[in-house]
Amino acid sequence: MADLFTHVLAAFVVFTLVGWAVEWLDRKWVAVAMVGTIFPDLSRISLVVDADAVEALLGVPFSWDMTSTLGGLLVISAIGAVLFGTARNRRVAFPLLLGGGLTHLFLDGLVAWADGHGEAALYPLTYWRLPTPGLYVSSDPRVLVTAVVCALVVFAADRYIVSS
Amino acid sequence: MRTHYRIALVGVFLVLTFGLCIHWGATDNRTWPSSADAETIAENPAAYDGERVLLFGTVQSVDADANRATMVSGGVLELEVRDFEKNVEPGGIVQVYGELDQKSSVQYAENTVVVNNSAGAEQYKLAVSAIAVLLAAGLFLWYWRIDWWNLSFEVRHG
Repeated sequence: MADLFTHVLAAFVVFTLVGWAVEWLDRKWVAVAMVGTIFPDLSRISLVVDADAVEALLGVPFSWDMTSTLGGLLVISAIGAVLFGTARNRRVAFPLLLGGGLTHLFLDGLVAWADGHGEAALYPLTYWRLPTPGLYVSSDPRVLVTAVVCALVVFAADRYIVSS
Repeated sequence: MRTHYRIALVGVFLVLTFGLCIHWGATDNRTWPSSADAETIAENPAAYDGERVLLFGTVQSVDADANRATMVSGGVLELEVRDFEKNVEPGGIVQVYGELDQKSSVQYAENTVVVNNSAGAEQYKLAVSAIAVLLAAGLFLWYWRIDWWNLSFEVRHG
């Protein structure tokens, strides 16, 4: 997986560009999509609450890695959307939270794996591990630099060209 | 939708989330490309000789001249990786795909991917990820406020 900063900036770029074509997709909704891109990395909860400890507590197998899948995104995005106060906001928030998470999964699908296949991101539909082109590794700072440059260009264009 | 309905729905989705985490934990061996992970191999290492497996490992040492490295996978399986041609410092994390030999104490690398080239690379990722969370949360709360009375997000500016 890429670092989370890259994912958040990628969501900003993608949804700001989409917002240029879709009138209602303004900055407050772009911010919602940026939050959605964090969801697949909720597996990092394991740094605080170890899955083995949860297993011992529950007495059944347990893994936080499920949050990095389509199924995880769907339920976590639903939780996020329900927290919005109005029905209209809930209807808009859900696809944007999900969309932000999907940009995360897409970028993770390009990461190099030694056996040429990424994670089973389509769980629970299938356990099939998607083939990956292996374009980068997560700790490569050039990935983040590229994301920062793209985000700055889109931010400037959005602020000074599109908005004026 | 009334607040208590929304909170009940959050509860339902949280239960579903935990249920999926349990299901994933019970079946995640289906997503692994080889017959076993490091913990399973360590229980009976001789049984996996000749099998091609994908292992994550923390590099202990590298002998660049001999194209060899030692790594510990899953905290329980120590291996010597041969045909290792990557530039990694001890403490770095790699993925190695290849055949096991000699009671799973040797792995012949067909392909190696450097996940972190040093112990510091993981700290770098965690640091920039923390900044990302602050950025996303800060931007979100710039446009949205928390209505504590109704436990909901409402538009802050217009």
